[in-house]
Amino acid sequence: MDNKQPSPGEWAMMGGAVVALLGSFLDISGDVSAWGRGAFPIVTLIPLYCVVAGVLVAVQRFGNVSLPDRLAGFGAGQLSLALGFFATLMSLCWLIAADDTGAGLFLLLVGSAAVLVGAVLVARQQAPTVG
Amino acid sequence: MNNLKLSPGNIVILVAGAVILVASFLPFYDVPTIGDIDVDFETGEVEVSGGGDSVNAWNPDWGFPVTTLPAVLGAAMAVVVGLTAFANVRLPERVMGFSWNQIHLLAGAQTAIMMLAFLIADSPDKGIGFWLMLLASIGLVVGAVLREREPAAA
Repeated sequence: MDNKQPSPGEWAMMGGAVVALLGSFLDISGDVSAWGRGAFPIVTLIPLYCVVAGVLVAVQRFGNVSLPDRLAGFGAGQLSLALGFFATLMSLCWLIAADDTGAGLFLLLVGSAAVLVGAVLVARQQAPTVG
Repeated sequence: MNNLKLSPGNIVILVAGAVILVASFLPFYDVPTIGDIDVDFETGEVEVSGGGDSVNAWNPDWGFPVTTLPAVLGAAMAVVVGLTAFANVRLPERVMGFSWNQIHLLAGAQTAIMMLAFLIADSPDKGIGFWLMLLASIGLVVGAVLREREPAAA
């Protein structure tokens, strides 16, 4: 990833991470947030995944940090894609599971979907080098 | 059947995937549940039916489909291994830029992370199904790591 302005996909990932983080402090079901009793750390995994994906992009774009080509056998783009996918999957599952759905859960879903879409866009942009 | 396809890593994934699926039908939480209550107002008799002492990972009132997700992921890993080993199904080499070894690693890690999160979470007493699912999820990670290290693994 060369040092230039973030691409639309990268903006989506960073924006999604912020939305998911904000959503994690709002009620997801009843009056419980993602950090509340019973929800932590199961629901908290969703904003954590999104924030990790967003930070991976942000440190490269704004922090002038050059990450190793592969982390535990995965490229940074692959990790972001996987984090976005599992965060979205868990958000959808919680949406089905929750009895009394709060705004926080919808923000978690929107944020994680944005991270996933952004990661897909970035992966397509870098198709020859991904993997 | 290619012997390489049933490598130790693949065998571990097959077994762990089967265990996590079966365990998902065993008690996940040990909680008393009340089923249907019929009250006969003439005699005053109360009849309770359909309740139990535990709920499994498929109980719609206790976290389904979140509690089920680790079992589904684990079973999917086993199915992929089974299809390539026993049914000679040829899968594409990469999916969205991921090799199958990477997909197994990610799915196994996600399964284990979720089960560890359930372990830490403030929740009712865990049942035998939960503990078996936790062990199987660790098995899935071990199997995926072994598979990654095997030469020419399918």
